[in-house]
Amino acid sequence: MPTHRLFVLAASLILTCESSTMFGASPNLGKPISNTDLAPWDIDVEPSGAGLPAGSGTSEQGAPIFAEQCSACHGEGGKGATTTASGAPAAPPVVSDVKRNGIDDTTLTIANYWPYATTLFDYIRRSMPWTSPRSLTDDQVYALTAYILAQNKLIDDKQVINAQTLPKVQMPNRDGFIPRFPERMPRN
Amino acid sequence: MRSVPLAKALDDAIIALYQNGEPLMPGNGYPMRLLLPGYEGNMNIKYLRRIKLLSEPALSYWEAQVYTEPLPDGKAYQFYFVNEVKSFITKPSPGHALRQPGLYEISGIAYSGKGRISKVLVSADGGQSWGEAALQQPVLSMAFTRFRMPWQWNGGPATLQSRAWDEDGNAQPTRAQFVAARGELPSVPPLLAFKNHHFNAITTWAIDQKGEVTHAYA
Repeated sequence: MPTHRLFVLAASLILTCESSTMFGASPNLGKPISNTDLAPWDIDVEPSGAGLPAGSGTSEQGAPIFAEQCSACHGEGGKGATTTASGAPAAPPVVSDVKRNGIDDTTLTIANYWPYATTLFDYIRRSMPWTSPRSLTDDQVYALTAYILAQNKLIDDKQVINAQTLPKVQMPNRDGFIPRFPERMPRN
Repeated sequence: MRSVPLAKALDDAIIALYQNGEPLMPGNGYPMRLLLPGYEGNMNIKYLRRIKLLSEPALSYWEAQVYTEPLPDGKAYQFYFVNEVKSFITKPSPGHALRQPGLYEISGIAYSGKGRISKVLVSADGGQSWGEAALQQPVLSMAFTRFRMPWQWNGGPATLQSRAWDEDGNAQPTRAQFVAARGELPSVPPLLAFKNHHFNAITTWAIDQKGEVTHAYA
């Protein structure tokens, strides 16, 4: 039975003030924002799949996008790079068969650690590529998500990733976490 | 993006616009930031732009990997949130030196994300004997609490430690207790590596016969 616990999500970057619900004692900062203007910022994706947009992609479609948009930092095939062309610090590998070694956090990977595949879509869409986040289409983000999952052998090469299939991807370490907060937080 | 339990939001969460009577400084998150007393620093979102009510945590990248605490048995803590009871001695500490035997004040900071500090003990012999330190008033919940203790240094080697308790009865763990629960890396990590989140064990300063203060494991 799903336990419906409530959370508030706090996100940073730019001030907008949702204000159909302004309270009387407001310090009168900011201005109301329309739902249209809010939509581009309302991009959180939950493990249930809530928040995933329309669109889809496959690993095959993701491969050339990864080569063009991601491999400069994450290395060819996502296997990590020690240096980058720009001299910027290399980004961590996103494709890895490293086995986790105890508490050594350098051995934590998407494949051996992340509990939900939805995190990949959320993070790529809001943050990548590093130099121009939000420049990818939703289809491209789905394709990249599929590519990374397939390269990590978490899904089949041919699988279509979309709002229905992504939350169903079984991540190997889903049950590897102990919520420290008194209420049991993740769904189960 | 962070998921905050609704219970916390309705308890003591603050959206801060001002600090010390003036608008937040840019580095502190101007124009507004979230402030969650007692919670780990990264939860206190700067440049707050949006709050949304959800039925489950979002499991953002930061919640799925970065701010988790891997355990030696292969499991990991997630949603750790609260900074548990901790204390450390700031005077003397590495960088200071005792010039001659005599009377010194040992002073430091104690803190608990679960409430007020109730007691701080100080040892100069590596935990074999302890004395209770004085707490500087006011002692506020989830706030730094200064403790002080007079100490006669006889000029020989000494091992300084402090240990705190909070009003919930939580005790600051010894290093051995912490290592037993959370494990230990095989080698010392780089200084700027981001290891051992929520490390709250006793910290030890060793003083040698010259009065030099260094970090030590004890």
